[in-house]
Amino acid sequence: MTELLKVSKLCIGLKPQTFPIVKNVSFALREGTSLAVVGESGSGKTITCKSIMQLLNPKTFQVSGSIRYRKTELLTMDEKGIRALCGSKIAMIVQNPMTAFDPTVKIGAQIVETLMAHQRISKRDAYASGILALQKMNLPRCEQLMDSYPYTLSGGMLQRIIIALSLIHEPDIIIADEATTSLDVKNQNMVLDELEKMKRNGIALLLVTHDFGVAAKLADNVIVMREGKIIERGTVYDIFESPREAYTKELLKASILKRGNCID
Amino acid sequence: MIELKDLSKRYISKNKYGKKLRVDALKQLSLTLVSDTSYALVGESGSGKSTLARILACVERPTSGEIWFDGKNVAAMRSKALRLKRKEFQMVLQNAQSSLDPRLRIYDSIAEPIRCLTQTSRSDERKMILEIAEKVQLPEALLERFPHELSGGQQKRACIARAMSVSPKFIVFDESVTGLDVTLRKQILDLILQLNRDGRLSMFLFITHNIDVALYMADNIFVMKDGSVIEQLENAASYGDFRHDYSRMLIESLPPRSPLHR
Repeated sequence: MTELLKVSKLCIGLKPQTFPIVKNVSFALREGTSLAVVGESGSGKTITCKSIMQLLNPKTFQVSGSIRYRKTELLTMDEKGIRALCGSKIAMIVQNPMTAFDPTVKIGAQIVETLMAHQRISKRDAYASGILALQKMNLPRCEQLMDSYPYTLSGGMLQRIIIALSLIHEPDIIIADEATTSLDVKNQNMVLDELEKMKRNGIALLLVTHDFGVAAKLADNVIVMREGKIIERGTVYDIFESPREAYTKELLKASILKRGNCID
Repeated sequence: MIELKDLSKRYISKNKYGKKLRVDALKQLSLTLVSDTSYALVGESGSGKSTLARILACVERPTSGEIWFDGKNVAAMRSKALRLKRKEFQMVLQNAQSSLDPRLRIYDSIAEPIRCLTQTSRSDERKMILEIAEKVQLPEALLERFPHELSGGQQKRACIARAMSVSPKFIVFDESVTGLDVTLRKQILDLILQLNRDGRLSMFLFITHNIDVALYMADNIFVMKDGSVIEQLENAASYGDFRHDYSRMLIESLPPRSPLHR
């Protein structure tokens, strides 16, 4: 299995005083495996993802360390290279599907726009491959979907469209940043099943979540973050069965709601 | 006691050709909620949970049906009479940040229901607010801040304090912990249970799509689908108590508790 992504000694600071937000974070992601990053709000999970996608504004953030995709260093890459890579080979699924789409443009037009930005393709072909991508996600009535506005669709539906869209360019890595947090359990289950299928097809998953259930279902390895630092790492079985850090134990305990232990 | 009889709610929207579309959010729903009892309501998105919450909190009126509370049909009340009744029903919404007025200090947000719905002197009002803030574990210093200066958990506590400030008989929590991280979620759930135990919040309906949360919060659970209640449980303690196929499906959709149960 080849190593797809290697993040080493990543430090992110907030300018001008370079207030540290992410401190010395290192991890690697191999083909067909999944890594879950868990931790509470404000622990630096999302910032780490954004720095991989080069979405951080260099005017406000100071990023140091190294992020390698296969053999290429992303942090020193020029913008043209980043554009070719991020969005196609490394795809990201964001937390809130409702705000990820432009509310004034129909789904179909947005899919066509995305496709045409990444490859030389005619509008008609882009439309056709958009429909094909939606069909692959088992979405119903795809032609009708292409012709609807985002607000007429449910959150679960939109999230599946986003996944379909991120899969079009056959990415190697998918970063799912709290991809199921705003969905109800039924839709969450559908989205997780799709992600699992992708993992079986050899795509590497980086799951960012505070939900231990999601990690339990999908992850091979887990890292626990707190205040910008990785405080514990291991296989998913290690973390669930024999967590070492008190903080991990606390998170696990809080994630499982059991009557009787509510007020200690 | 609150009694709902044949409650229906129909929304009318238009499609792009201007043709009317009818959506029946609630269909002939009948429920009885007994005083001093906590209830939970589960169902997927679009099952009508929030519509029911909004009707119970008197924000919206049903298309047909009756809501009996204290011997009066609230659904048939005129707006003026209903205004006085609002004191008895309060609601806590999902998104704390957007449900607090960004231009009001937390103190004023919590004071708003008192000022609108009761006639209380400013000094009594201050006493009430300080007491309620202590109950929801919101430090006094935070009351003079604006919503954006508070963390998500503190905002949530402020919302609960606001709902409780007029000592309502009944509070609806509509997806109040969805999207919070696990530590914060547990803190807020435990706070509600603690308030319930202290008798400050004797009757509530907790709306959620997560059966784990429903089981944690209440013994009496309703399962809702497509605008009707399809299963009602008293003294529910575990997954095994759910019988309906739809409830079983909701349980099976829950992520596993451990990687060993994949």
